[in-house]
Amino acid sequence: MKALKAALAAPAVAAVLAVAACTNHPGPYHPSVPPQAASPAATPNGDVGRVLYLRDCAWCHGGSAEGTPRAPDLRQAPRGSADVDFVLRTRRMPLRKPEDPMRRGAATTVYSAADRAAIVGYLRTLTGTGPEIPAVGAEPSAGLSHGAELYFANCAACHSSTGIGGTLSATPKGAEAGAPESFVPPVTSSSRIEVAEAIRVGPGTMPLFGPETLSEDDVTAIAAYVQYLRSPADPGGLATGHIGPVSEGAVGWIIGLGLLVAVSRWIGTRSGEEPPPVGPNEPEEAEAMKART
Amino acid sequence: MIRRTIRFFDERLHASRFVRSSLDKVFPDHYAFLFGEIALYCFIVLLGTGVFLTFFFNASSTEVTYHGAYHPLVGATVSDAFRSTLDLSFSVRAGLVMRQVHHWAALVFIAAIVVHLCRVFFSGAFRKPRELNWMIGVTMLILAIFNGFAGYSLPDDLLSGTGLRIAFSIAESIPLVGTWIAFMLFGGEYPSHRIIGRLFALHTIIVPALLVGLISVHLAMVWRQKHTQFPGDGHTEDTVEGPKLWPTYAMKSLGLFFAVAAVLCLLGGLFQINPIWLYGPYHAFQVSSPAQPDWYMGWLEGALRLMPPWEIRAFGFEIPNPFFPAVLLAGGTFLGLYLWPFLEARVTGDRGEHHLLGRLRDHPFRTALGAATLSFYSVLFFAASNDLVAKWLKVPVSDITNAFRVAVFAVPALVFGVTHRLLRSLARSGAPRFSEMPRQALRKGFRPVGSAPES
Amino acid sequence: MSTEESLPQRPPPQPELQPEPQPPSPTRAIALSFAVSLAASIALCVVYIFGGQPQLEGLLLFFGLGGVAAGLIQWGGKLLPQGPYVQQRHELTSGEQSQEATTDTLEEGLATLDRRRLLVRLLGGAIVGLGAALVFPVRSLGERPGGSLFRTPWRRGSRVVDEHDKPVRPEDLPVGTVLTVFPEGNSGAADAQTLLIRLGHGDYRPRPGREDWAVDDVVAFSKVCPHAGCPVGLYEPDTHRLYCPCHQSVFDVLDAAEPKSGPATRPLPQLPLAVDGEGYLVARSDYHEPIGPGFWNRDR
Repeated sequence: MKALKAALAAPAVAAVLAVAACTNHPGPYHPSVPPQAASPAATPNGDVGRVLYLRDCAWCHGGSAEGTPRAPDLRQAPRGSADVDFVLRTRRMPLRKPEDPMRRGAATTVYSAADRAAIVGYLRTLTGTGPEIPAVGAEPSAGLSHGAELYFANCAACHSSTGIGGTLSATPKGAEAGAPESFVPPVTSSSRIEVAEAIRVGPGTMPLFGPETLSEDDVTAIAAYVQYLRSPADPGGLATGHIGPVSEGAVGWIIGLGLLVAVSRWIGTRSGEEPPPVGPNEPEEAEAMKART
Repeated sequence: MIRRTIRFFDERLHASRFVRSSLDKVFPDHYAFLFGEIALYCFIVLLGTGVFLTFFFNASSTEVTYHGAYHPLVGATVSDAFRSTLDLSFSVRAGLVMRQVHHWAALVFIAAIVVHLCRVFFSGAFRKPRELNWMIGVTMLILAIFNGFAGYSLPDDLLSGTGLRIAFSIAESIPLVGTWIAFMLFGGEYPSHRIIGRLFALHTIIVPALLVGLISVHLAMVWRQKHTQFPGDGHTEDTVEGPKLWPTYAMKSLGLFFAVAAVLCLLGGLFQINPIWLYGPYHAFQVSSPAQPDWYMGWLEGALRLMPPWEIRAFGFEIPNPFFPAVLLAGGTFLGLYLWPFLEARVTGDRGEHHLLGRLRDHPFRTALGAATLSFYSVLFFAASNDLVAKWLKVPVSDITNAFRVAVFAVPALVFGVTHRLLRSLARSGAPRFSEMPRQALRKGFRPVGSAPES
Repeated sequence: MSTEESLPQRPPPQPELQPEPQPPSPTRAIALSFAVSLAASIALCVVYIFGGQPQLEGLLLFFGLGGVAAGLIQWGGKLLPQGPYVQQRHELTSGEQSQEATTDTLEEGLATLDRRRLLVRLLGGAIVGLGAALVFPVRSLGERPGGSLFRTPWRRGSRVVDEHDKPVRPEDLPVGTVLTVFPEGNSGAADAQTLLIRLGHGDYRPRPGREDWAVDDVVAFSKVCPHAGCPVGLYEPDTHRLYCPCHQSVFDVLDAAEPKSGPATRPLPQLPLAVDGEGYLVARSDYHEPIGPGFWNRDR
């Protein structure tokens, strides 16, 4: 038994050390190295994009976006500009470690709009396929209800009617237990362009919807409804997280019944308790009652 | 003035002595005896707010285009039931508060019934001569749960409509007659256009009428048999002590009614409930998640989620999976509740009349079993939010479900053991309460030192 | 300290001169409660006249009703006699004699049934007949299930349309997309709701006999969960899983939508697809088994 343990321990230790070596390797970009400022604006965009790509992305995605064991090939369809723009805009990329799951806001670097456009433009020269960044209008043509109906039909099942997100079936392959891909993110932080990109791109484990299924007008409408969901009408009072009957039940029991049980304690007596005497100011009433018993 | 009124009725109904004895009637006023009154007053609030709502709600599945005050859905295709509920919420002055008070009152109503049921159970008030009243109470619990489900399904929104589909499938799963029952109840194949109207008739007329009748019998029986009392404080089996109905108990009870109404209005104004405009109108091919029913259906929903994928198939017939956690479990639950007073009487051999309630320590088996049963249904209840628990704890939902599957057996067993041991120890030690019980009493072979303990 | 000796000692207060400790009068508190209630009710009127506001309405109702509650409870608890008064319970049983007498009275009346056996039987028959007649109005409540659970509106050649009646071509669907569709003319039908999924090239692993049920990697499955009927609305393209939000059943699209987890016991039925002359997707036939949850005679 001891020999078996030792035999297993050695390669295990070696594997751990190897992984540690890879992940802690101070490659072209490492969290402890502060990001350098981009080149001056006079340089053509392609250069800025190329510089940033090589500095921040190439170590995982390869020098020509061909992919490495750490990260997928960015040249394969259906990846396109909308993909890249989406993950950068929502600050899901670059990842701190290759095995980290993508999560909104967890990226190590936040790019300015110009830098982001530069990276997207540079990758376009490498990949040349996939959906472009969608155009999304500011106002839907006919009120919010078209977007609402499309949202209920296509989005609410995963993202919830109220946009709070939800739970998926189980851990997808490649994500660790409890990783955010087991869960559907809320949409209440998403801008219009992010909604549009997500619809076309299907980031993470989300399905995607092509222009024949959801037209540009449809996407604009859904994006507008999602903006509405950021601060929806709550005329009834505290929304308790927009979760639904679960939080309502908690409030009903804890606050509703709790208060009423407290009132009962106030009204009624306890075992072993003497009933409170009638006050000295009111002797007449007490006398009158006692006389009649 | 009062004298003239009394004379008027007495000359016609021979009522004077009855009225006087009623006014002088003594009611024990332990606070735990007020839980049933909380439920009663919640019901009155439900009746009042409900009448208001019926003047505006339209129980029709006919599709209309919404053109009301809620801007985001203007132009959407919704059922008239949904539209009328939106109008109540956005266009009728005080309509939203009425709707919300009504829904909060339903949640608190059933919560109060459950707390009242627990008090009656754990104190042994269901024993002879009160078995009939217990059974009436269980019936009212079933009716209240049904009416709550019917009520929140009326607005025909995406969340409650999903629940109706599940209800149809549960009815369908009953062997032999399931499909007939489902088609009869719904008026055809799902989703029938008749169900909203039928639920409306059941929810506003039939079940409330039954409840009013049963509540009246329930109270009449308490009146006739007089209320039970806790032992101690000089109470005996042959007497009842407390303030008189008039004026003291009546005034305090009236005060409780106002307090119930006040708390329900506080909830109804400050806490949003069932915002159907955010859920969207019901379409049978759409769904939203998370999807849970109101809390009092949670134990059934949790059972449906925890049940492993088993069903019975033989000779071309089948008993589908939902039958076991929904129909059998529900049926068994209520059958067990109905029969309990008679089962306990048979097992303990105690068929005597009881007007003094029991202390928990004198009935360790019943108390432990009751506590274990409560914990069983509580685990099921929490299991209904397994996807939310998974999201909060960042654990995959399948792991959460498996944990609940273990808990649903382990927790009641543990609760039973601990409760039973604690109560037996308390009884043996003779201490007046837990805080004064010596630690050694918990050991199995403990016998108190010195004189025999007071019973 | 030396100051103790120099200062004159105040003589201890005489017991008779100590003021009687007065308990605070509850009357004032009760009056205040009622006054608060009145103020809240007036404010509520004002709020209502100005159009109403739910939070204010609720809060003011709370104080309006709560003020009365607090006042009544204090009045009942502090100004009125609490007793405890004692009343005797009466024996609930009326005694054996009375029970016997009642039984006799009842039985005497029922004796007529014993004497007139034939009439009783005829009466019984009449009642049973009436009962049978009453079944028919009950029967009007709903249709007989018949074959409706075994069929959906899908037919051979039914064009596949989305909820806006727009027909679908396979090339409209990118890989990783999911779309809810219906047979043309029955858009929105609950039992016909179907999921169109575009799989990756070569991902389709058909069951034997279903090789031609997909068109260009587009497959179709019923959207109605075979557990309790909820729409299986969550599709995860990465893992090709369909996930039902109601009770967490998981179906593997690449394995003919077999349930992998959760309480579902059967796979989602697959709809056989083809293309018509104009390139639109059509069904080859109805589903080959009943869709949706199980029922007693489903397998017949």
